[in-house]
Order: sequence, then structure tokens, then C-alpha cells
Amino acid sequence: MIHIQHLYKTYPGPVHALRDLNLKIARGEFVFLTGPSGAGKTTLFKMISAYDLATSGKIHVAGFDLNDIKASEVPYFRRKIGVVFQDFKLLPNKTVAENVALPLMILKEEKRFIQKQVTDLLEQVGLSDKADQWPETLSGGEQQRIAIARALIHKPDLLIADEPTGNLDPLLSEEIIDLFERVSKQGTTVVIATHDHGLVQRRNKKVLELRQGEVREIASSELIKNISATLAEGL
Amino acid sequence: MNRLHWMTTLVLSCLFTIVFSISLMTKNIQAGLQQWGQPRIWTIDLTEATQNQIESLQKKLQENSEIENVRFVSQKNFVESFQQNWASMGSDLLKDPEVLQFIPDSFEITVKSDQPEQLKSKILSYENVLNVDAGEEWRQRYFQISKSLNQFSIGFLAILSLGAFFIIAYVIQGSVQKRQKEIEVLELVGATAFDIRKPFLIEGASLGFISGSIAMLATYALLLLIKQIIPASPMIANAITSIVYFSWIEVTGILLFTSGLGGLSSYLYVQKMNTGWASSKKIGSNP
Repeated sequence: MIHIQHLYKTYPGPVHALRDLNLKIARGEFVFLTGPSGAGKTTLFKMISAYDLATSGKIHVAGFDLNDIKASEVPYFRRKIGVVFQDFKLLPNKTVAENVALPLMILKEEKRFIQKQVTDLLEQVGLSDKADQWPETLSGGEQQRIAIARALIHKPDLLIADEPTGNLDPLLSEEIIDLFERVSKQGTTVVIATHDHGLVQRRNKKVLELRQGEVREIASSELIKNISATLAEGL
Repeated sequence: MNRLHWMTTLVLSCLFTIVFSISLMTKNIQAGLQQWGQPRIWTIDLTEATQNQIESLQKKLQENSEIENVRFVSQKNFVESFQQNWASMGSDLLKDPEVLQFIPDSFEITVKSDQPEQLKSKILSYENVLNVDAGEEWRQRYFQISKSLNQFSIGFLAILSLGAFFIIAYVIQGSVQKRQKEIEVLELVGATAFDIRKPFLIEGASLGFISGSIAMLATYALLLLIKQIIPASPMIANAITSIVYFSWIEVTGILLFTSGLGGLSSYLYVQKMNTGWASSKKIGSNP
């Protein structure tokens, strides 16, 4: 699903946000991406979602070569992925239900089908009673769940979520990760960036750690050791 | 519609009312000029001809469907008529045989042809026809005035249309900036460039259509007002009454033009639209 080879992203300075990154994530895999702040998680997500260009290297996602993709193909690539951003990116002039329905409306699905999907998904994220409200009247956690529902509604091949549980209480976080696991079991590849190491440990999934622009796979039990190392480095 | 849209509609309506009024004026002046510029009574001078030849030519002229009336004016008739109308001038002159030889027999015809040049050539090809006076001088003068009027109108209309074009582009620019976040999100969830541009194109075309329609009504109201207020002297009254409004085809064409102008203005702006999410634009030009 995701195949990255020798990926570099260098910002003027030069600042090497990503260096010689190699990564392979198979279809239907569930992966946690961890690492300290500034390690390059968001940069990597931007590359994977065709938000930004790599400086060099190869990047294939959901069957698209993102180095060579035509401008006219980008929307069709984005229809295959679902992205949950840290700042949610919700439309304030649309209701919760309308925000969630957006990807299906773009796909020009039937109104009745859209309504059913929206109702189902809002129920799964616990927002059934908020369907007709404006996002700005809701809490951060509720807005985050709207963004999650919107990223899932069109059943994407790949779900990328940047800190999707950052604003949620522990119980709700577990429920959202349960939802992601269910989605993953249905064939969607899920990549979640998180700082919640407890959550990662409890789930026992593949963990990729990003450090100083480089990525490596670690066992979830190794996380605690790495946190201690990071803290020691900081001290 | 927000306040900016209302204001724009008002400004565009005023602008289009000026444009349509000028077009209507030009159209009516052109129609007047066309009548003036196409003399319908022609004179056909004849070479020396026998009575039979004259009758044969008269028959040919009468049979031509592009000619309404044919009247023979002999040299004698012409002299008599001239002496009646211009008694004080040249009465003696016309007794001079040397002068008389320059006054030929002629036919006076009334034409209804749309292609006077062709008709003239045809008549000139007839036997015993010396010359055809089809009022070229008048026509030339009409063409000159008509051409100048056309050039002035087109130039003026182009300037005003350009103004309307930029006003619409400015409003669309405002709309795009206002909806920047929405555009970003739409791109994020896979909207195509056309999906994103469509509402702006509709907005531009609607602005053009609504303003054009209001201006059409305003121009019509102005015309009615002028017709009611001005008929002071019989001569002006006659000219005013003969003013006609745009035909239905013209109205449709004009509204298509204003809508198209709005749509085009919008398109040229949104075509260059760039947002923080427009990575699609960057892709393909990998540094």
C-alpha cells in the first residue's frame, strides 16, 4: 500500500526533515507511527497524502507513483485515502452531518446512501445527537471525531491519522482505536501517528519509530526504553 | 448573496444599462441611416433609342421583381418639369440645342433590392442603357457615418465590458479568499479542479445574468419614459415613435453575452487559483 525508497525531504536551511527513509506497509496493515516532536511524522504524512513533494526518493501510495502523478490524477488519489489532520480541517458553515458527508458528495453518491452512511458513522463515533450542529459549537474531542468520521466515510484504501486521539479522553481514545481496528480488518491500511505510548503498548501492533528523519520498526515493548532514552537525551 | 454581491449587481446593472442604451441608440440610428443611405429611386439614362427599343427596355425593367415602379422620362418631359420647378433658372439655357443633347431620355425606377450593386450591374448590361444613377454619393456618405458610429460604439462597449469583466473578477477574488478553507478541504477530500471551480463559475455567470436582466428592464423603462416625455415637436415625435427595442433574439444574445462575460471573468481568475492544498499543482514539477 505504501512503498517509500530513499526518501529525502529537505527544507531551506538546509533542514533535513526526512533522510534516506525506506518504508513498506502492506494492504490492510495497522501501523502506529511514533517518535518525538519534530521527528518528521507530519512531514511524512504530507508526503504520503500528496500534500507536499519529496526532495528526492521514490514514493508509491495506493497504486499511485507520487513522484510522477499528474495534477489531474491527484483528486482521484485523494479519494482513495482518508486523512485525519491535527487541526481537523472542518468547514464551519456546514453542519456535522454535512462535513462528514463531503467525500461521498464529491463522489456524487445518492442522497439516501449518503444519509445512511453518515448516520451509521456518526453513531460509531458517538455523535448521533450532534448531526445538525455546527462544528464550532462542539468541543475539540467532538470535532476530532467529526474529522475521523469524514476520513472513514468513503471507505478509503488507506487511512492516515495524525494524533487522532490527542483531544480525546482515554475511554473515547480506546473506542476510536477500536473503530480503526475494525476498519483495518475490512481491508483498509491504517497509519496512526501518536504520542500515546500506553495506547500503542496495549494494542500490540506494528510500530514504526521516526527519529531525526529516519524510520525503524520496533516492538511495542521497546517503546518505554526509547522514551527513557529520549528523556535522558533531553536532560 | 452578501452585501458585496448586491453592490456589484447594482454597479453592473448601471454599467450594462449604459451599454444597452448605447447599443439600442446605435441600432436605431443605424436603421435610420440605412433608410437614408439606400435611395430607392434611381435614374437610368438612355442612349439614343427608338421607341421600340425604349418599350423593350421598359418591359424588361417592369418584369424585374426587384423593381417596383418604372416611369419613362423623356427629354421633353424633363425640360418641362425643370422649367416648372425652376422657372427662374436656366429656362433659356434649356432651349439651347447643344445643352439639350446632354439631357438624355431616362427611366425613373423605384427599387426594393437588398443587393443594389448587383441590380445596377444588371441594368447596365441592358441594351440602350447609358448610365444608372443609384445614389452612390448618398450611400458612400451613409457608409462613412455608419462606420464611424459603429467604431465608436464598439470601442465604447468594449471599454465598458472590460470594466464589467474586472468588477466580476474582483468579486470572485473576494469569494475565493473567503472560501479558501473550504477549497482546501474540498481538495483534501478529492474534489477535482472542476468541482472546485464550478460554484465560482456559476457565481460569475449569475452575476452577469442578473445584472444583464436588470439592465435590460432598465433600458426598456428608459425607452418608455423617453417616448412619453419627449414628443414635443411632430418631427422629433415621429423619430421617437420609430425607435424600436431589442428583438427577442437580441435579448437572448445579450443575456448570453453578460452571463458569458461573468463566467469567463470568473474562469480566468479561478483558473490561476492556488491554495495551500494545491499540491496537485506542484506535483509533476519535482524540484
